[in-house]
Amino acid sequence: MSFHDGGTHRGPLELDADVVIIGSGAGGAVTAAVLAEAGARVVVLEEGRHVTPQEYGVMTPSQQMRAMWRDAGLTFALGLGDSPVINVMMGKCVGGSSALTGGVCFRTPGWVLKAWREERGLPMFTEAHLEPYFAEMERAIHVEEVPASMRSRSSVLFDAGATALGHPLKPIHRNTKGCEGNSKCNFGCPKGAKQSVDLSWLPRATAKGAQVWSRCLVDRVTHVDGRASGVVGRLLNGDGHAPGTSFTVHAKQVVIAAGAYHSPLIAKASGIGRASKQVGRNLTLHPSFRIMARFDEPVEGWKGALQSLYSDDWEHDGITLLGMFLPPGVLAATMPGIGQAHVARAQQLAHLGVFGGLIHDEGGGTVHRAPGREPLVTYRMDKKDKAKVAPLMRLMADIWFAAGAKEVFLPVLGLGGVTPDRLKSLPLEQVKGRDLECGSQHPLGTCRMGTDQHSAVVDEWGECFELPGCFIIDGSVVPTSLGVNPQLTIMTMALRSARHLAETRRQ
Amino acid sequence: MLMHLRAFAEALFSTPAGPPPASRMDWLMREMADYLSVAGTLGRLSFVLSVYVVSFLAPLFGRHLPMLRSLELQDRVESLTKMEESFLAAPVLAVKAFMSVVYYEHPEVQREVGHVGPATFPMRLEP
Repeated sequence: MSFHDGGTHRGPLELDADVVIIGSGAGGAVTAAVLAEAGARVVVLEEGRHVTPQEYGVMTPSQQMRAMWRDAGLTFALGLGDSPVINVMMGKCVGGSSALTGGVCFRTPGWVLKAWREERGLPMFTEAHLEPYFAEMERAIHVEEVPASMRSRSSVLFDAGATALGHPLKPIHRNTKGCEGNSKCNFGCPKGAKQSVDLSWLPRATAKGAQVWSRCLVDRVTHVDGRASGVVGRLLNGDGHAPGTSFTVHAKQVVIAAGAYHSPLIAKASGIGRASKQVGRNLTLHPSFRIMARFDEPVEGWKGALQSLYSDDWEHDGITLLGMFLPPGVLAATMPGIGQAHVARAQQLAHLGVFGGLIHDEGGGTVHRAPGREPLVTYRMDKKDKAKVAPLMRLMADIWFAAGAKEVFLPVLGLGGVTPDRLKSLPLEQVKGRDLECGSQHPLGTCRMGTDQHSAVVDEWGECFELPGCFIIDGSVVPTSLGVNPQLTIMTMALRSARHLAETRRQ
Repeated sequence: MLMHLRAFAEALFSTPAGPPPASRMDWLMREMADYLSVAGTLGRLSFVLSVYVVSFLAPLFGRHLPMLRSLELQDRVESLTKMEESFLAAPVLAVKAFMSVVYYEHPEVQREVGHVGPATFPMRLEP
């Protein structure tokens, strides 16, 4: 049997492996498959539940949030200074956040790689060096362009507005096979079309003997004579799935792949970061904002692919526009008003279009240990990033009005619908950070990669400077924000690191 | 806490005909209790704190005495509206957001708002 549930295991647990991997998401699953296919005995430990595609495919959005999202979707980064509180969406399940993304795949932009080479001390990260890894990953997860026939009316309208202003949108690529346009990507694909790692990479790992243990909470990495020797933790088999009996996995190599929020916690608990003091710092979030627009015509934006179009025309201003849609409850949640005013707005859901914009942020987030299992995360938005928010809102509102929208709903707390005339006079530049509605799905950078052990946590292959034999292979090592969805970057960097690890094991 | 949350929900989703049916509110409260039972410590505390902050402060915006659940429905609507339009909108929106995510999954509500797309799935309405 390949999949085991720590939540139902009785008594303590002790396992031996060649490699133990903490986390079964984008980084962990790829690493597990590469190493298992190279002949290693692999154990994957996942804190969350194992929810199968058959189960999550029929869940409502809120049921899926409860079953598969970290903190049931209530994770946030506390804004410091003139910064918003940011709702950060992450997975806690077998498959990790890859089961919850829209499947959008972008290669790392060339100008970002240039910054890594010139500013982050990573001269090896050229497009030529990464090309074979990107190509292999795109084949493995079936990256394909979203066809025009699958674009939602919401995306088509926004494209019409953008085109009218001289900026036609471009098609998005996603890791899908047989998508039917159910628009439920963030809440569990009902058709198994989205090739999240639970469908793509984990089966490759288990086919070669890897064991995947769900509901296992790793406390720390153990070490002997200054080298990683395994992990210890607790099974979530207590009352109410609280931490219960202990487990130990002995392994000469440990891979931490618990994501940007939890990899630093595990690293710190294992003594990593004392010298560099970088663990948990340098968090980037791609602060994201949704702009809704009301049309007289029915839009029914839930019909079609969730995300199909984007624009990078403003990438050098640090802004990327990305298609999106939201379930009716989430749409209604952000409509202004109480009572009849709210209900009347909710009855217009079928007439709403939605599009998103994200900011390629400088960073400013920190992960702190806190009581309980979740960290306290703070985020101080850089002044340059804050200054991008008002132009982003105006740009997207102008596009919606160019498309024929009657009013737009900006992500400003307490602000009702805005007409074109009202938009001209609104002092958006003066909106305080705390009054912005902001979300994030791309936490990165808290165990960043580099070649200088005083300013980075892991080397170019993901090995911890301060604990040989311990690797971090997930979004926490990505050294800067990307300005585009990071899934493909994370998985490709994982593929690269895992192949190197497999090669060094062979030697 | 659920009593305060229900008072908020009855006002938020009310129409001139009154609050939503009691059975629908019962279902919503069961779902919200389940939701909070799986949230982490910080998330749950933040949500519960928001509920109490709104319950205490919203009536003051409508020139009434706390708590929200002691007010008549229309006064609750007025108080919450004024707080949502104020500098203290954040806790109102936090509670409203998570209740709405669940509420609009109810099949009757989806029909009322005209969403009968493929993202609608059968759900258990009885305890």
